Amino acid sequence: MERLKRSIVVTSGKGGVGKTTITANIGAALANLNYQVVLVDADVGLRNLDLVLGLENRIVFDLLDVIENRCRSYKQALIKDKRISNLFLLPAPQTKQKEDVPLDKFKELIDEIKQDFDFVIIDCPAGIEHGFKMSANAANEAIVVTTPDLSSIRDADRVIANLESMEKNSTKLIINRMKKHMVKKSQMLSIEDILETLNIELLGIVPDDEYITISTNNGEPVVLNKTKPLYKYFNNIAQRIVDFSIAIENPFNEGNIFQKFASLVGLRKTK
Amino acid sequence: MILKQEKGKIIIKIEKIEEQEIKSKLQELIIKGLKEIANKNQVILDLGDMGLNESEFKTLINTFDSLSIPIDLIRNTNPITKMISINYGIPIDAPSVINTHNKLNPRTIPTNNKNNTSNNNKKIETSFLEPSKSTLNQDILIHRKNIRSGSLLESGKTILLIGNVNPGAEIRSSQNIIVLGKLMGTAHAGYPNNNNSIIFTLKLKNPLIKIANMVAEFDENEIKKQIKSKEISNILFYHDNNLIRMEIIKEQKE
Repeated sequence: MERLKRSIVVTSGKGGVGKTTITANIGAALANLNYQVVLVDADVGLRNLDLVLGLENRIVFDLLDVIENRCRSYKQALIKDKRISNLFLLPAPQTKQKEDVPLDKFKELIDEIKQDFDFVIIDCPAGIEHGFKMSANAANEAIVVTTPDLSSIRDADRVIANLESMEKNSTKLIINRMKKHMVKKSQMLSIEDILETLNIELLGIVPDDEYITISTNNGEPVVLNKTKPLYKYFNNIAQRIVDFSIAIENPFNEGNIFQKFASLVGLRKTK
Repeated sequence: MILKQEKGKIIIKIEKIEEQEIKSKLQELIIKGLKEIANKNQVILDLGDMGLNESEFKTLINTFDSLSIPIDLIRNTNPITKMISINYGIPIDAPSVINTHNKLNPRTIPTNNKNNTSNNNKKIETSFLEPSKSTLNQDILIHRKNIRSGSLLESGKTILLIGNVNPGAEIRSSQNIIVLGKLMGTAHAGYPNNNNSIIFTLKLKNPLIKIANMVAEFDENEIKKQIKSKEISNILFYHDNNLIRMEIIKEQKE
């Protein structure tokens, strides 16, 4: 079967905006849509993707073991998720420095993995130094994650400038942790405000939800639980990665009064 | 090193990073009048597909700076070198940067009056082509792209920016700055000490305004209250008597 062979870097500039959570969830959502997905943790020395996916006890080899030929092939280092059969993780080394991974070798590795999978999603470390250069250089596409804070937006803007200079022309934006009630009271930047500054295509919006903390601590991506409100937003993002013409799931779009009432009494179907 | 001259541009192509070799070649060219040509033209440094690290890039640019040959643009296809160049404040030679260098030559003059005779059209065209005295002999760099955070657009010429200056970005000119967009970062006109420069922007939000060696301080909210508007538009900043003055240009009713 012919694979899509797409490589996407998830980046932000600022730390703590939810890159790893988003990588885990869109990866799981894409795998749920029957695509073969590999998540690559590029945060050498500060790896977390294994925790979010609940795979921390199964790491034997990491990406530097593959690059330095300590295992037979990259396939030996991949960890298969037990809940979603077509989701895999390539972990980062925890005892090394980011600079220990050569830019060209990492790109060669991503290019090799890409041939056998539909999606290779790279969880990029915060900052714009070696780790960012390594991840962005290896991917063909980019997803920039921001929260509605001025500091996060400014850092995202800087990252977009760097991605543009590296000719990553299909960069999309995910706005994470939107607080509906605060936007309504104009206490938080609106989606329009963010898009005016960043001026790139919006891939999706993820509203703020306490359940994300629970799911991260449990090592279980949100998308595994279809009853949770966040499920539809991550699922929508995964669908839009495959087909950008699909409408965006907007948490601010509340529909008409009947739909609102139906939603209140629990009649509205969840996707 | 290969030197090429195009209309309004001087392209210096480097194939190997050898500091001493570049320096001696440049000194050779300076004797032949390179500085004079560089002052009158846009200087483009063509690095081909060379992948440079930050220290190599810095050394190369410092070599040119030490000989007073400022680089206006970098031409390079390597993504990492491009990123370093932008971070270093030197724009990449891309189609979005249009250097008008000598004069504007509009091919068509938009007009709504269909009854205009060809003579009338000629009159409009002539008046459009004649620059006012204050802008005569000045070159304009037109940049059609947002300036993003961490980027610096710098030129010895007047900069006409069609786009926004985002928070954390900087635009710097030895002449004037005209922003046809929203100014949210830093604008420094008349750099380093040209008091006659102006800054004009269509809109602004928390910008940092500098003219020559002065910094403007103003309370945006207070101005909004004074003009009874949620947004400040069409703003001109200029130097006057050791002060930076701000003028809101109102639309003229016909």
